[in-house]
Amino acid sequence: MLWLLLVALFGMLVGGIFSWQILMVTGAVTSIVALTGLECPSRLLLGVFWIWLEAVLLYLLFAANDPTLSFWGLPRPAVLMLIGVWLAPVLIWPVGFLWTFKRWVGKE
Amino acid sequence: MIPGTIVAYLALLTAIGAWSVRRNRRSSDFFLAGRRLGLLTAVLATMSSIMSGFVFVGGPGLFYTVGLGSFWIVVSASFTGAMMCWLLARPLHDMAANRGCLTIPDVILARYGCRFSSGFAAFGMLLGVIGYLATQLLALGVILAAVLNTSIWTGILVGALVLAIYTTAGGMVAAIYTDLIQGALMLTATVFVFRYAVVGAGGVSSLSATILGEMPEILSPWGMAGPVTCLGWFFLFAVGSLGQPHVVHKLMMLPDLKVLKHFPWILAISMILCSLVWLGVGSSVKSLVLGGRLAPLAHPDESVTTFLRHLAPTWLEALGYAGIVSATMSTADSFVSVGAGVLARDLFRSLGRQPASSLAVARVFSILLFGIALALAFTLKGLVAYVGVLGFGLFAAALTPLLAIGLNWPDAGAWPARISLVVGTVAAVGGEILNRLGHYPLDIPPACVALLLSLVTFLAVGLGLGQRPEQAAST
Repeated sequence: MLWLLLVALFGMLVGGIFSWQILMVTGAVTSIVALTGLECPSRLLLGVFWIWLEAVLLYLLFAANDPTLSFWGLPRPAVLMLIGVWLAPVLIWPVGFLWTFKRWVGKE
Repeated sequence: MIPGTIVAYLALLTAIGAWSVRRNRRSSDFFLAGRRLGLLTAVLATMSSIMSGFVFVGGPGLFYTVGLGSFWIVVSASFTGAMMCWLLARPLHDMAANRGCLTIPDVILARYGCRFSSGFAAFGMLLGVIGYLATQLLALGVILAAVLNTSIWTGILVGALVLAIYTTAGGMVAAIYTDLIQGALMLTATVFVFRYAVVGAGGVSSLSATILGEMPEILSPWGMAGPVTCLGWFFLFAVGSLGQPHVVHKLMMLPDLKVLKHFPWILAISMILCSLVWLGVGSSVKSLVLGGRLAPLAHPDESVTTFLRHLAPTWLEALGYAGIVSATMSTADSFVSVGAGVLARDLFRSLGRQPASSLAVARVFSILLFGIALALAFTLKGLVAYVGVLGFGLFAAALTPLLAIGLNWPDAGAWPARISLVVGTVAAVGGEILNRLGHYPLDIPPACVALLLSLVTFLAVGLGLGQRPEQAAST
């Protein structure tokens, strides 16, 4: 996990310096997941979070200018950003923390 | 009504400070609130120390300028609480409960056995704390001056006096109890302000139609800032939150890890509610200005005050100002506690002296801290803003690798800590100076680059050196 974290952080740094957006997205999401993986007791939670966030961020990169309107007359990418990055992750890690709490708190 | 509400609120905070005096018997009471935090107090204290006045004033202002892209600063609030619990709660709780640590530099010394790292971290923290505290005092002065119809300097003095009374007399005990009230007030204010802001702009559909008709890029997910800057903000605030001493310090105040069972999701929801003010006021004021119903703002940071003055009923204006004052003071009181700990214990120790542990010394250093921050606020206003802006990035770059990685990687020795501390600090300060001078060439925020450099350095040096000598000897 430490090597994965190092590679992901390096990817994010290179992506940020050269404005390579896809590398930046993958580096950022993988770094966050690999860092959390140092102590998170569930690989499932890490995997679900990685897939969800990577997919949402890549969609936002490619479809940022999609003019289709969605709920409340807001553009679809704006709604997806608010639901996908701001709200939905509560159901993955914070609720996942509750779900795996006994395993985590009982760990030596 | 509004001045009366604010004066009554300030009097209540002062009374809590006076009441808390008798609940401080040892230095662990003063610095760690006696390690008696429950779930609700832990959530509200953490939320109110993260959500500073910037979320209420700077956030809507940033939305006014940059659009939805500014919101990447707060979107990670939905999961950082879980990261904090998994990565930091157990080691910080153990350090406080079993090794007598009272401050973050104490933890660094206990973990790495390195006086240089502990002293360097303490010095960096002191710089950041003084800058942050002076910035909060200035912000408080501006708000109190507007509400109480007085000068900014009188506002600063009134705010500083109330803060000094309750933090110096009551230490972290008073800070936690006032955080409870301040957190509840902030949540109530944001929910009502959001509702009135959206209704005032004619509802979400009308607000959206006006913005899309005049300036559609404001509602693009990356706003006017672009993906590279926004992704940089996202990473910086998601991961850099793990290095904020005034926030993670709260995890050392827990009596038991079981308190944390529901902590991440309640914290996430309370922070999501709190950030509604950013979204609601920012988009509403932008829509009203674009639609010609409000005059363009002289300064983006006037978004929230313009909304409260022109669109909110009097009771909401009072509640809104109380929310802003609460957000500012609750962050400032956490900084006072952290800064007093650094002055009283960590700097002494890094100079080879015995750290002070008496309550009286802690109080004297709290007053000294206020004195320095006030002097800075009064004399070097430009520098205050600079050091305040630098604060988050400096804490993130200097402390995140040592805490988030180092506390969960037993093989990491003192060298990765020493080198990443220096690299992170130099990169954070250097990047911000280049940015201020207009010579920073990249789109990714300089603080994010500093954080990435320090994390990469910590891992590369740690993995390159392999096991610690003492670890290798024992295996």
